[in-house]
Amino acid sequence: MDFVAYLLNMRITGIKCIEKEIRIDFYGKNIDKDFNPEKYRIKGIYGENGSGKSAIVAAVDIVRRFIFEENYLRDIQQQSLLNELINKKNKEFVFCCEFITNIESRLIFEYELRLRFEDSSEEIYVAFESLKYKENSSKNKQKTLFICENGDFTELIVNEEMKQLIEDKTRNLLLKQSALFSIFSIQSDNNDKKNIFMHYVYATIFFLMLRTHFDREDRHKDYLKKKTPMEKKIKELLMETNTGDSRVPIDSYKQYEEGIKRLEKFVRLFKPNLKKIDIERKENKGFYECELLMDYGEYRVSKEFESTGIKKIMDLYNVFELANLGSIVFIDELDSNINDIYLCRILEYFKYYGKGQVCFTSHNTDPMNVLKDNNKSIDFISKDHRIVPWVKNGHYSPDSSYKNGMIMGLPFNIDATDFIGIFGREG
Amino acid sequence: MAIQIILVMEADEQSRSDYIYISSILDLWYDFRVRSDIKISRVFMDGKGNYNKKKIVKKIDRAIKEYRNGDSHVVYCFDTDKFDSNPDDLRVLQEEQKYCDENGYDFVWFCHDIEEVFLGASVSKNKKTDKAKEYIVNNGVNKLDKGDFIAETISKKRSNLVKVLEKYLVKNN
Repeated sequence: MDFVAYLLNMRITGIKCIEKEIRIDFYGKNIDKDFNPEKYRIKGIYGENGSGKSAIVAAVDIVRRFIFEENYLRDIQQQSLLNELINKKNKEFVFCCEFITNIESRLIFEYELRLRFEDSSEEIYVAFESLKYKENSSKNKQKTLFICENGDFTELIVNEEMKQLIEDKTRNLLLKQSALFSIFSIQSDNNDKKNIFMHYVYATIFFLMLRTHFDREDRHKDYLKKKTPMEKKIKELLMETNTGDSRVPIDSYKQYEEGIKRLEKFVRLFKPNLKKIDIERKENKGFYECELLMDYGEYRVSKEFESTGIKKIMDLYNVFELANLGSIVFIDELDSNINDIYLCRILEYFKYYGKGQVCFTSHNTDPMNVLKDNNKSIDFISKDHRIVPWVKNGHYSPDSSYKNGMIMGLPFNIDATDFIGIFGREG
Repeated sequence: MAIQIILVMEADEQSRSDYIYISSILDLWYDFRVRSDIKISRVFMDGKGNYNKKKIVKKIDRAIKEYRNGDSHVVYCFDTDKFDSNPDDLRVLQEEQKYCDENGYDFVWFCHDIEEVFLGASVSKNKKTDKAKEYIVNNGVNKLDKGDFIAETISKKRSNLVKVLEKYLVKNN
């Protein structure tokens, strides 16, 4: 199986309504030479409104932005947003994940991040960040790469000379920025390509391949706008796609244009009368400001004024394209504004032919029928915010068990008659 | 431990009048909506004569088999009808109770019918749904006397509904 990085599992606590730790497994517990994620690449997460589905995607988004956006925790707006997102009772957001990278050799990493705030200041800081790894198999001994507690390294495995440099350059900074990305950046700037450094590179690549997509707020776009110079370096390691209305560097325009051609073919599957997608561009200080125009032969319409469904399909194209290039993509509310037949067909493609990993939240139960044959492909999140993985139950299908309220913690006791007291008043 | 209570009621699927009354009690005294460990399943018999028919038995069996989170309890809810004045009604009631006993199901009775217990008087068949809706809209549940639902023996305007439910559910304070 050809893959660069694969997310094995993650544990999350202290975000939105999630007070107690939840664990989401994408693969089995034991990793050995026979590791093959082929049938473990798609996961759908289902639950009632307010059960914490979006919190899972938000958690991934926070971690990724924390790692790559140097000023993420220094930004007042982000601080106030995080204050809203981090569970008020816990006062601490904890994210821990295990992932595999398969670049030169197979490494199993464990990354942990704790963001905390105190009652006195409400300012969010990094209480803990660590990276550990095992070689080849989950049975091997875990080794630490770094542990950073309350802004100081308690362990840091790099060569001695580099260690001093990293400690000097990160002094007083690590309460607000990622130690992982700082170590990566400093070593990368100093051309340290020794073996242990590559472990940091691989872990960084994994997080770069981790993507999120929200229905209402496209944070991925925000992230691209705020790209730091160091991220541009990493970009060379990965092929990125960006086919929305965009500010495109002139030297990347050709690549952008090719991406739009692929997007055009994709949209035509849903809108066969689409002739082409034109790019209207204006030059502006080394960039093209690009607007997409949908050409239907007799008329053209700006993407902005396309139907909500087609706009959703166009937005999703980017994330599916990233997944297809091997990224690990989390999509919140995949089903909103999208026809369920189209939705199932796209998921079927990923099931049979796709690469990368797709994890989505949804209320539409039809995709369960696409996913049910694969292992660890359906998780439910209960009323009291626990993860309940779907386990085959005789001939009962996951969607019927879910709709009938037979999933643990999701009794769906609501009945049509419950609305009588609300809407049943006469006059 | 999670539980499933399968309520088997005389009403038909469309009117669900029995469930309208029973759920008002579940709501008020057991707060079942906030509980993630209680599953209430509904089976409508569409006439009490169907209580042991294949289609009803099948629905009950399916609910039991599909629920793997804990124990399932089947609670049959019957009107006693004029058991005290009509021998046929008495015979039917005895048969219903026997069926429940033999199958390990709970036997809930409303004397003489569910409307008499909840509203104070029986209503004609074509007004059952409207009266049930009226009961909900007017918060009829607040006028109930809990004592009327824990009767040991069958008696007018009373039921053993709460007595049975409390085998499985803890009452709110």
